[in-house]
Amino acid sequence: MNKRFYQAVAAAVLLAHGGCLFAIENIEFNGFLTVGATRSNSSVDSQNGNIKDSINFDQDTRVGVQVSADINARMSVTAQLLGTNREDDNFDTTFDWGYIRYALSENVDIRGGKIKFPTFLVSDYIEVGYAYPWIRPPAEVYSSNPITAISGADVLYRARLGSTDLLVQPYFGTANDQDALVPQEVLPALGLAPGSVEYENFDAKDMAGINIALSNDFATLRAGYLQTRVSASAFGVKNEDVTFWSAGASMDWHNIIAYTEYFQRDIDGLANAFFPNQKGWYATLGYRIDRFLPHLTFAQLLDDNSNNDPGTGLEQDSVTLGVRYELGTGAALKAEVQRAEPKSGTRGLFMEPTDDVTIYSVAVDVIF
Amino acid sequence: MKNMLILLIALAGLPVFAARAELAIIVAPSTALDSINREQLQRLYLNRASRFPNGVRLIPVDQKTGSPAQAEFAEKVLGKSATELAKYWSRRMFSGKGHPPRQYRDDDEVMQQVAESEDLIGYVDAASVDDRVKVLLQIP
Repeated sequence: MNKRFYQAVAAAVLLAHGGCLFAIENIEFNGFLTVGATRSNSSVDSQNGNIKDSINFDQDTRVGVQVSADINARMSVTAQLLGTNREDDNFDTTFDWGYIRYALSENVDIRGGKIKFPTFLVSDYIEVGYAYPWIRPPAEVYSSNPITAISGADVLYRARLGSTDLLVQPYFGTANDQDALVPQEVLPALGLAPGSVEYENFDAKDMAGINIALSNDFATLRAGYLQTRVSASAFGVKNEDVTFWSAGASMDWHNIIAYTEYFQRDIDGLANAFFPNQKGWYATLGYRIDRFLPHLTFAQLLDDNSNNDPGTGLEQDSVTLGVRYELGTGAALKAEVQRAEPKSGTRGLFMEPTDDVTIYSVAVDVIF
Repeated sequence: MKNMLILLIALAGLPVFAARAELAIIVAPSTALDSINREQLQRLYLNRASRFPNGVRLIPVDQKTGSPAQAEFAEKVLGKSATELAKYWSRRMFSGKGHPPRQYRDDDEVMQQVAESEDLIGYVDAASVDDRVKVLLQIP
């Protein structure tokens, strides 16, 4: 480990002196960064407090660094550090994920460690704004699973079916000390004022899931299922069952870009008060014209609770018009206007029920 | 001054000439492979496969991002513009699914690296090829 550290330092020194990029053959550093500003036309903030009626940089600004190294022909390590301003006013840097990969054969990899797992199409690289068309993936779908990484293991099995690549990825593990945004509806029971932004810890145990994807040159189809049991000792939530289904497709064909996804989550017992049963979907269509990619997204979050569930299902529709502009290779400028409307008397993804809210966002994404 | 002008004109014209160049796909003479098709090449360079039906495993090497050779290879073989290729690799790399091929400065460097290793495969302007390497495919 020490030796690797010194190699890394040596590599950094060589790079700083403009030396050969490959002086240290098997360690690589890569990074990504997004600077984004948001502003809405409403005095009602987004539920995480980051989108408000004044210019704010907390929602989308982040920086990440990835370090990877080949240990030998079959083994490699990869890890990512991530710094964000999302949960409070301090810039927090965390070890987002990191694992050892072992290539069992040409078609089978086993990974162990802290693994970013693929709930959705872009979950694997959700922090890398440069990799997708929007400033942020549609919240009606992507905010539905607060767990983004597990401590555990997965298997990547790849096969070729004609001109299509199949990926089968079962995973198993735990996710302890996860932060969950406490719903506004639950705050009074905790003695907290409405409008507070509170995160509480919860543990997800016995998490098991599978991701199946079919892809070719221009399209990807995927489906996933996961189940786990969540506990949050502060609220007396103990081992409540959670199941999560998702499916989606993406396409990049003759300058036409399309994404669509669906999810459904089902949560039992008291945990339902914190994570009500919901379902949701979105569809994005874009058309690339040289350096410009204008795109349009419709998204919907729906209540899927029955009458005797304790939680309050949230409902919201949104329409987003955006454009991505390529600033050369490795950088993109994005601008979006979103009209979001909470439905059925709920607060949607805002602090309280409100008329429709218009959100303006701009961002620059780079990779380096 | 006159020389400077000629140089500028030559530099301005360079991408035009380069864009018309024929690409040669090269390996070391001792590499146990005598031909390759475009689909195999594409899968190899997009890190979707590394082994050939006869069991041979090759590591692709690339030319510098922004070089005329790379832009041409990306368009003709990979079917992507330089920015689409950068996006493709950002998705693969930052999800831990693989790295883009190692890049070398120019045809000379690629020729030298490929000539010295039977594990590598590269592409250069067909005019740069000499008998240190074996040509598997020419792409007009």
